[in-house]
Amino acid sequence: MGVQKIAIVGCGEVTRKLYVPELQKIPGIQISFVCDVDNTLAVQVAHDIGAKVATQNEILASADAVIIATPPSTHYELAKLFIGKIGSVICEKPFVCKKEQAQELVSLAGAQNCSLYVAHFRRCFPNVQLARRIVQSGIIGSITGIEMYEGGRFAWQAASGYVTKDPYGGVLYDTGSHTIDTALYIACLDAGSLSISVNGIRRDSAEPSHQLEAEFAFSTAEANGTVFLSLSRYQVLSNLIRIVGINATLEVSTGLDDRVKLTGIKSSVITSTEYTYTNLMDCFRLQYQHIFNGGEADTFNASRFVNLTMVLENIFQTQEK
Amino acid sequence: MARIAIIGAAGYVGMELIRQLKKSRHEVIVIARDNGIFLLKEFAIPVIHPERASEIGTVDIVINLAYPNSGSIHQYSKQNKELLSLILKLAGTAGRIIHTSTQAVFGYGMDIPQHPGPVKQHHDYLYIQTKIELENMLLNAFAHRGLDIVRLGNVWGPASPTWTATLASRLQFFRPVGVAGKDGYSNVTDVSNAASYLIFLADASRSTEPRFHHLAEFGAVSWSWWVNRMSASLSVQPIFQRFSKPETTTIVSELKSVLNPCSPLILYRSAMSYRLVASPLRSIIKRMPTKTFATLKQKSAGKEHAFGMPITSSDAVFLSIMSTNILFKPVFDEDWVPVIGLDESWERARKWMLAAGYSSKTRR
Repeated sequence: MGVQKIAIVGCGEVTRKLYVPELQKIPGIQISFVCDVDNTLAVQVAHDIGAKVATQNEILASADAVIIATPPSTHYELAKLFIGKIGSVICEKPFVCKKEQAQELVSLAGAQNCSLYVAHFRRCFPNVQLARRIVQSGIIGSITGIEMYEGGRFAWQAASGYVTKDPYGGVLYDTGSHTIDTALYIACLDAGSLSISVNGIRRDSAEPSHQLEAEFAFSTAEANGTVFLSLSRYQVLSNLIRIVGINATLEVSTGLDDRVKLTGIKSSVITSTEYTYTNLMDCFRLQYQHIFNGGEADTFNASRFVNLTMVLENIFQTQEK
Repeated sequence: MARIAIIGAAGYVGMELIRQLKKSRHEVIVIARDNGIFLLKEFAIPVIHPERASEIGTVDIVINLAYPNSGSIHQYSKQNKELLSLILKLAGTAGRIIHTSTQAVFGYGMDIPQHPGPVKQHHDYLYIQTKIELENMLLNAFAHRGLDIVRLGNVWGPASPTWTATLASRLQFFRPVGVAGKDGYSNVTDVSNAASYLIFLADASRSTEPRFHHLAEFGAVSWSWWVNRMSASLSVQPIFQRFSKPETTTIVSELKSVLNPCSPLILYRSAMSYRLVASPLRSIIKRMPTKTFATLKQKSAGKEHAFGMPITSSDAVFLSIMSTNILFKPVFDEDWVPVIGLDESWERARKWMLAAGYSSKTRR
């Protein structure tokens, strides 16, 4: 196979700080086209990496894969535009804003024989992989509860300002999509039947909110339980995910780590992976290596993010109670 | 009532400072970048982007909490100069400066002799060099204009990202929180007290000569005091590293540790596991007199690696701070009274740990 020509739509901070430096390290691909509603940004990125500032039609005609790195509320329309016309479509997280949109795009991709992925690179974290294998082993038993805490003083300078202006730019979709996806993935609830019922919400403001707590019940064919979520852009929290099973509790840092903690009735143990990464970007690249060069590409198949989309949508739409 | 401009107000100390200043009669203006503007929204005070600082005019007091900590490290000196330029603009010809610095100007291990005066620039970690550089720039610019430099100890408090959160997370996941047998001085200042002291200085009369303040009102409290309480709260046992580190870091000692993986002993051990290389090596050893071999073996036995888990260089810095036997000696105005005491400081941290999710809400 020759070099795959990649197009990136959206030349904001994520593209400049992550995609541009990291994708160039992956063999077999080349960022050939970029575009942005702000042509100045596109020109700057194109100049930095030797790509072409392209129109959507030029991308449709010549790209092998497209990465959608625009604000979340634009993902649905852009993905729909590219599915079926380009071999691989990769949507930056969060996937889309509504479950029915996610289901529609997944069906469309299937019908058009198009590979549709969502970039959630925390799934590559060694601690996340280890935690999921522990849950799969059955050691902790049926899951009865999930707790998620992620907070830190917000420092990201989004070029578009969507984090403070767009309803989908708040802490729920921006940070919470990472946190909730990681929890669902570890708990093996990212695919298959899942329903939730939101019992309580507290926010600092109408969306985009920057601090949020939610409590909800979940159920699947095999298990049911309660979920607690706490997110903050104002202050640091414990930054961990707790999966409570009938036999034991699993705790995982939301950050890059190589260890997980198992707590039973009498005591706790730490178990760690044999391999580790010192840099977040190693996992960012690993994700794209899987997507472009084979390996664990199924981990990022868009069909595995429909449940996440449903959870986010439910919380987003629930009024404070 | 004074007109006070605060630079770096969106940080941990800054937000507490704003909280306390809101209760005072001073006029407060904040200079912050984009993410700072939304973080400070709840306080409903004017927040001005640095590029629009000229709109503010001059103020009576500039409190600087900012320092270079983002972007390319090669730009840090330039960022210091930009910060100085901003401070000069705001202070005009008559404004006073209250600048927050750090105990780390005396080294992470506090191996530079402490004194409430200027610190000479020297080779050290980038953070420390940057802090010393900014102190000295301000001393040059404001030598006779009213300059207070407040060197803060380890800033503790609810949601303190560097200390409270870091320690709690390390305890949670059984990472070492100290060195066995070396319980160090915590050299802690509570964030509420740090903010209170800055306001105290703002209310105090101006001095024409620079004044240095060293603030760590709980400095003499050992780390074990905090760690024991946190561990009990989290129902975990703290882990301590068995680790030895040279008391003084020199270029030679650092080069040795960098080159250590290439020691003859390690090369030998590695080579003996190879199929082809090991065979001639074993032949050489067979021909060696037994006594010579035994002597060589005994010499290498003393060079075993330090017992304990492998640690990163940032872990080593952290652990050296946790095990310091050097107190950050307090130097502050005796008329100032801390707003919270030790027990209250711990209680606030404990409540935050509970709310932040360190203990489970869910019962099996």
